Amino acid sequence: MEEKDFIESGILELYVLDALSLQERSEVESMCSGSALVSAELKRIEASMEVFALEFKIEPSSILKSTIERNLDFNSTVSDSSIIDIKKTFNNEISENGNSFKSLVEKRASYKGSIKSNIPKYALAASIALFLISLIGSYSLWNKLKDSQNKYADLLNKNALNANQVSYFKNQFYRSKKLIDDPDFKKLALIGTKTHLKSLAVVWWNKKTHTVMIDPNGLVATDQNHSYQLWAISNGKPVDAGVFEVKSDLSSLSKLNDISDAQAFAITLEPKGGSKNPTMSEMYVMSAI
Amino acid sequence: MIQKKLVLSEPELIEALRQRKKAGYEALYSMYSAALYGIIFRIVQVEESAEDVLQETFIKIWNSFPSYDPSKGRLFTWIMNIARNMSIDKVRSKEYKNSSKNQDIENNVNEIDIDNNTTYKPEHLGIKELINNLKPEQKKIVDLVYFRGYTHSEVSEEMGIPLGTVKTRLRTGIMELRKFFN
Repeated sequence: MEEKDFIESGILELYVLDALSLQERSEVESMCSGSALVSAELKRIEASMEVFALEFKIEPSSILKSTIERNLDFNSTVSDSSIIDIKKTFNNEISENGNSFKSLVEKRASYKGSIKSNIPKYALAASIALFLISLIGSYSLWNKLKDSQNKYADLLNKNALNANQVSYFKNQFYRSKKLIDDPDFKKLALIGTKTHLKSLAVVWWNKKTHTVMIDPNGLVATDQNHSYQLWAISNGKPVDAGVFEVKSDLSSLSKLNDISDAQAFAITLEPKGGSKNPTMSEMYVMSAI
Repeated sequence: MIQKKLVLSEPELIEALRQRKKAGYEALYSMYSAALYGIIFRIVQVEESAEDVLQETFIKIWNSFPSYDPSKGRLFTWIMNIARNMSIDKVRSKEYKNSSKNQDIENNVNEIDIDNNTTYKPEHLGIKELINNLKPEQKKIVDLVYFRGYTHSEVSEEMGIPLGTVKTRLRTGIMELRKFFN
């Protein structure tokens, strides 16, 4: 009865977890030596701790094994192959201690690899060689596959880019064609002024609907701080017809403010966002109607 | 590269370690490194520190092997406790406490809530499912004492329950766990 209480108290678990004071430890040890029941229970607890730890194992990084190895001093007078000798030496001992280790051995049996082998050495060598060859083969195939996959991804990207460009140009083309085909739209060429002879822009203006479209593909790109501003000259006075920017790549046809009446159009370069009145010194292009 | 998993019986392993044979280290590592690392990682919870502790543990096993007495217990019990004690020392070390992301093991017992997922790293999840099968009063104690390395008196003090109750709940909890693996 006393043994049972001792076991039930949970002291053995703490003993196995090394969580007892020295006095408690010796108490457990003396109980164990005097009671088969207690010592059997202690062995069961120890075995289950090992089982838990193996169940909950986490593989450490594979480089740790050699890092640790470098910090250990091995007994070089004993050759490594003598592990087989140890095996022989302890065959007897195992059978003696067999019972006490039985549960452990059984637990391990599932992953225990056989150390002794009857396979002839040359067969082993041949299979290792074959394995290495296949490893090299797989590696090179894997590389080629990776290469192909990269190239394929590149092609897909380029294809998508091309498709985008095609649809962009198609769009632009239909928008321009609509303007050209529409008899109500008047095409006005804005020619470069003296200071900007190379500049050029086209304004499409529909007098009926007052719609104004700008094709800016003859203007130099604007920087971050500036915008172009289109002005409609109506009875000698400039009317703001909208602000636009030009990027270095192709700029698309864009719609600006509606204009009901104009005798001429002009474009000036203004601080970003546009100005109330045109900066005459920065006039790039101009038309006459 | 691919290595054969070297497994020895316990007496063979003990003899190989006693003779400081390289094969002894290799067998010990292949048989127990992952089990020890699991124990260490759950206590230390920081990969880098856990790897340091695993290294220190192997070195200590190697260097103090002459003090291992097979008559007093199983080899695994001895190495498990080296790993646990070194992990606990690490968690309580100044350097570890100084890094703010690490919890202070002495003062934060109450903050660890078994039902709160955020205190669990994914690596802890396998255990969580398992200990969810335990009774609530066993759960916390098994987790803190067995998996996290708290002492039973710390748990008793922080949870405000008698030492004897901590012990018996730990025992019944561990017995429950045992059922899953039999």
